Amino acid sequence: MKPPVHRFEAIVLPHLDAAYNLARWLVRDEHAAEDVVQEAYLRALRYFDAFRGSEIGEARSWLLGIVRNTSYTWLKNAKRSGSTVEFDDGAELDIADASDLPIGRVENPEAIFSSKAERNEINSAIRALPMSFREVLILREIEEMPYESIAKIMQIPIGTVMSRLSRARSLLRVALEATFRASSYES
Amino acid sequence: MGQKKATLNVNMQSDQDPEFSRLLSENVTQYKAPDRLRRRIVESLEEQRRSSWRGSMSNITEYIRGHWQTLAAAAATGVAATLIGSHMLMVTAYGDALTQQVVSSHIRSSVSTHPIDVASSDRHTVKPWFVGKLDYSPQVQDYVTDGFELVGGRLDYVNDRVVAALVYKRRLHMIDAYSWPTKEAAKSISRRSQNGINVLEWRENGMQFYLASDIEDNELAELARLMRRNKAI
Repeated sequence: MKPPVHRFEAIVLPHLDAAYNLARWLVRDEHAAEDVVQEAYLRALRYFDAFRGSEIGEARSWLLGIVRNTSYTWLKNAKRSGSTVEFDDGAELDIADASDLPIGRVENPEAIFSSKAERNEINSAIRALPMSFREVLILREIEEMPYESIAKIMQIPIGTVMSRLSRARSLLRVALEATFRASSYES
Repeated sequence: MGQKKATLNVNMQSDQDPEFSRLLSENVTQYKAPDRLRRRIVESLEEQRRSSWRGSMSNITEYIRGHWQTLAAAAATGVAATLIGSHMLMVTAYGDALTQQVVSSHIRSSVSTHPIDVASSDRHTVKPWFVGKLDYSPQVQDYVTDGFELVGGRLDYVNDRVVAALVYKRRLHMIDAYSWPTKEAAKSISRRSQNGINVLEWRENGMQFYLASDIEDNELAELARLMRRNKAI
């Protein structure tokens, strides 16, 4: 029988932004991310009968796992076909003032004083991280997923999630420290 | 001005680093899905549903062709749906809806004071009566010598169309025989039962036939065989 029309949409479509964000950070390409997310939703529809979780949080985690796998598949195919994945230093980093802030959860006055350059540096540094560090950082710091969910999505033990996260933060700190020092900030 | 922002403390070794976390959550881009992506996804989900339904429907049709006798027997005991699973519900639901209409029509005519518009056993009276009232000419034949007496005909409304209903008498029982043109493929006789009314259905030569009566279905089948044998319009 057809999967219920409305139940799938009701449960899974609200997480479209999170899905796109993760795909975007993993494949680092605007159009590829759209393809990945579309493919992920089709897979999710196919697997929906097997999805037993009823909580909203479980649906997001389940979907992001599918997005992650689809991203990896896409990257593998892209590498095999020899196409280069472009870095995307797109217009979305052109944040001129506070009203252009990305959708964030923190209303912190300090954020308003971040310079555009600084924001660019942080995003570039994350984009330059190796995939598995980038992934754990986005899932934890941006999607604010619990360790258990991250472990399931990345298919690694929880201990590995924690150590990888710690390492990712260190790498990022070092990269940013160097950048900020170069920009003549006091350390 | 950026001093506070720049206190990236590389000496902090703990896993919990709220300042750093805040730095990231405030500055890392959170991409939002563009509207065109949302639209694309909604459309492709619908397309996937349509194509998987079409696929499963063609599988069901094949299954029915090969197994109709089993299904017909099972239908009498009500297990047809569980035999094939939930997909079958789609097909039986449609077939059942039509059967329900036929049964309702038959029951209505059996309690009606006016079940017949044209009362005659003569096919040369009944058949022309439908001309101008229907967009087709139904097959009309009296089988009184075989125990099925044509008593007349009427217009009825089944499957969203005006159809011819012929009324036969078998001993003290009434049989309604419906027919209308169809583009669907020929189908041999299948049996259903609803509300105590037996229904036979078949298709041949571009016509859909339904018989409904409270007589036993093997007697009803006799009329069906007579009608199928006699192609003389």
